[in-house]
Amino acid sequence: MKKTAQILFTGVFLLVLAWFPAATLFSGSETYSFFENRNLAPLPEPERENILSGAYFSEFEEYYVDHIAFRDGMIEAYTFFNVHIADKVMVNDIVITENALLPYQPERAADPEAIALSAAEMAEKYENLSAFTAANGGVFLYVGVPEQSSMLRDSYPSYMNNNGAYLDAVEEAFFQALDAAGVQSLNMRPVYEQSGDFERYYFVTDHHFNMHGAYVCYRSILEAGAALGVAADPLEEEELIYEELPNPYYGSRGRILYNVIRTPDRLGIYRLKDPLPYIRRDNGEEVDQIFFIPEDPKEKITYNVYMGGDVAETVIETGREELPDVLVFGDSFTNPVETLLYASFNRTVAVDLRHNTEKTIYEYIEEYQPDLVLCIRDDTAYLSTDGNGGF
Amino acid sequence: MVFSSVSFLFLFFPAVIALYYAVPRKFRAGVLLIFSLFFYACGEPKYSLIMLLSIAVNYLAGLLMTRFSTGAAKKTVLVFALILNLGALVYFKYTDFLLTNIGALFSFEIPALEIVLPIGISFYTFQGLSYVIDVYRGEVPVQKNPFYLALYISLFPQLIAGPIVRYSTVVEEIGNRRENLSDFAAGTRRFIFGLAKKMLLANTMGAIADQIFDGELSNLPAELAWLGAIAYSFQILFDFSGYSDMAIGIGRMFGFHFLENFDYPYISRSVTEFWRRWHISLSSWFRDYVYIPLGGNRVSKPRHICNIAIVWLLTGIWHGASWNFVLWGVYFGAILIVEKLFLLKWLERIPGFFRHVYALLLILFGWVIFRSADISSAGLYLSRMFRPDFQGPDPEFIYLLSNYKLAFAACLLAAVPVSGWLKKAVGRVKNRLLREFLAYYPAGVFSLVLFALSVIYLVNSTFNPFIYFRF
Repeated sequence: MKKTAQILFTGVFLLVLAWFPAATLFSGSETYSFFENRNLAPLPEPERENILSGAYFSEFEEYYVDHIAFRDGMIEAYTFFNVHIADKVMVNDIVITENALLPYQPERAADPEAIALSAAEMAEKYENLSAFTAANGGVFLYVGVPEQSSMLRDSYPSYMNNNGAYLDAVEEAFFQALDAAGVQSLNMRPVYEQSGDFERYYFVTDHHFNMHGAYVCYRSILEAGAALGVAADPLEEEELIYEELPNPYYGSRGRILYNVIRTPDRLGIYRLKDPLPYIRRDNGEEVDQIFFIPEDPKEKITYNVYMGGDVAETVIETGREELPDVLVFGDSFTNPVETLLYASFNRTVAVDLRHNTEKTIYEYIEEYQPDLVLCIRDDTAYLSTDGNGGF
Repeated sequence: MVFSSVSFLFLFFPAVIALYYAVPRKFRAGVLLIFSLFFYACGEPKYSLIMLLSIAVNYLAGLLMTRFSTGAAKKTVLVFALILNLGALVYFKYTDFLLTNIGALFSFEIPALEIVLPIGISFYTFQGLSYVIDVYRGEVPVQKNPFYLALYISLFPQLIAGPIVRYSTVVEEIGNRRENLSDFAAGTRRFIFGLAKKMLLANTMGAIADQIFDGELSNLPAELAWLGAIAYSFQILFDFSGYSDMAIGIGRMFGFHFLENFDYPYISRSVTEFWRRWHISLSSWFRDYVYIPLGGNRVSKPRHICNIAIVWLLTGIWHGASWNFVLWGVYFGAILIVEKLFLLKWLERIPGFFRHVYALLLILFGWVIFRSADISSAGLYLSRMFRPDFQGPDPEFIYLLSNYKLAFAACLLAAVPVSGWLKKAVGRVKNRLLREFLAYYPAGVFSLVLFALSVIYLVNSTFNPFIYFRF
């Protein structure tokens, strides 16, 4: 019995040792990791310098571990073990709570003076943009949206930091600064809070709002726009068909946890009951979809279903000259809003400055002369000059 | 290259096993030597020359010592070998430390030479020294085959982090080993346990210890300070003993039988006992090559105390070129002296539980000194452990405990000889078939589960989601 056990044990061990290199050699060469949203390490070129310095071998290790067979399966198993067996509160920097998957937040000090200074500097940028928009015949509206971890901050365990004080201080200082600079703004937090059921506007597994949150945001924008003299009729819920996609939804945080936590999250969309003809061009190329839904209902989907994800420049023409034109720029929170917005305007121009380097937002305004210019950003980015805050 | 890397586990290791067992017996040492040199070269190719030089010096010293018939000539060769070996170690490991302190002593600034420490130099230097000293003493025969001596010094399982294998331990096996299935299976199991200690326990505890030790110490709550010290105590145990397990296991898979390096040190009931169980190969090296030549305990009491102090000063400085390692050595040296003088006798009169607590506390404080960035940090950390103004558990403390509860429980279990207790329990089973089944199958299955988990943890350590998923 002893010998049989030894043969079985060493046999399995040696098989595993031999299987991984063989399987890695014969498996396809992936270059991108879906779950990590990053490019995988390339095979290093052996050169005299990197071999002598030892860098070649460490780069090879990076390459090998990135491409090893069954890598995603092993990381998923790690995640499953830590979530369901080790019962960890935080795995891969995601805090697991009953209501939501939230990011780990290192504490940020709420220094009122520094925040007020940054808020004033940001407000000045929007003031200039607002003045430029007005000079081109339009109105500017800043739309602030709470990010999921901000809106659901009470879900954090009491012993973990949620940066609530910092976010509140930033929000208060920023909207005060916008007011002081005469910039029109819309803060979605009180709108959601007044509904009394703000959790329904957010995904459990994603940092964005969901389609319900996007719809409320869309309605609020049109109401604010009307108050500023831009008359565009909002789509009523009766004009829309709400549809929850059957595909497994991989939210930004659920994706980091390989969706090993079962949640009720489904990605919803609002389709128009009466389809509206339009011409859509992404970076000059014609595109015939608003929603990017795979044919296979079992295929994984992400937030990229809305508008196909972040695109540098999208122009949608509906050929209704009597309606106003809108230009919207911002992060991916804009995407589900755009799926409704285009139906209320003649021309919708959507710009994501993170991906566009050819034209500035000022050049877009000058070129398209929109009636309404929207900047939609989430509250973790109010004071950020990166990406869409860097115009 | 380290054992806990994918390149080692799924390229180097299967390749060396396959080739080793594929070639005729007479070429097997050659296979191990080539792979060992490649293993070392993967980390720092240019420093391979230093190791090869060390091998050459020790080889020639061994040969010369057997050529000379007079004691004085032999001694001269030995002294030269010691100077060259220790000179290299001192140059690479302590030059900057010495220059900085000389500068500080005479109030002028000496720019650091930024000398890079070759990996494993402390270990292979001590192995080389053990060879030449043993040859000088006539305790082992000289190795005339340079490749065998090169294999002894560079053998990849113990090359980087020990255990310090004495030449006398493997002299027979270097040229004439008998590998068998039983050894291979036992070695595999040992390797897996070592890998699991490193990947599942040490790295997890390391993350906790780093978070606490590298944070702001001046506001560190007492409970968090204790948790950090405990986590580091587990980290260093499982990191080091895990590596030793892997080294012993791999050695056994290739027919070598290295001596044990750890023997459940945290079950000790005195610091003296702890040092009989912790890093045994280093303690016994210092005992045989420093303590006993100095006279050991067969001298006057003051001289005996002096001998202990010298050994522990050297033990401290061997661990690193920093004053906190010196303090750490002095700290344990002082405790051992006190225990030798009278404390051990007192301890024997109190219940075992309190002796465990006594030993564990002193070991814990020792690790705080060892882990801290410098002496002042160590002092600050220790003072935070005894901060009197407890205001309820710190949130970070609660988080770390709740997040790592399973890991802490696993560490507690792995730090005590559970496997020995289980073996005894299985030995008491009366039914022979059931006893044999329990003796061989559950351990094998458990090992394979640990192996799977270790590989999963190893691969996950490279999981690197792009900053915050802004799709």
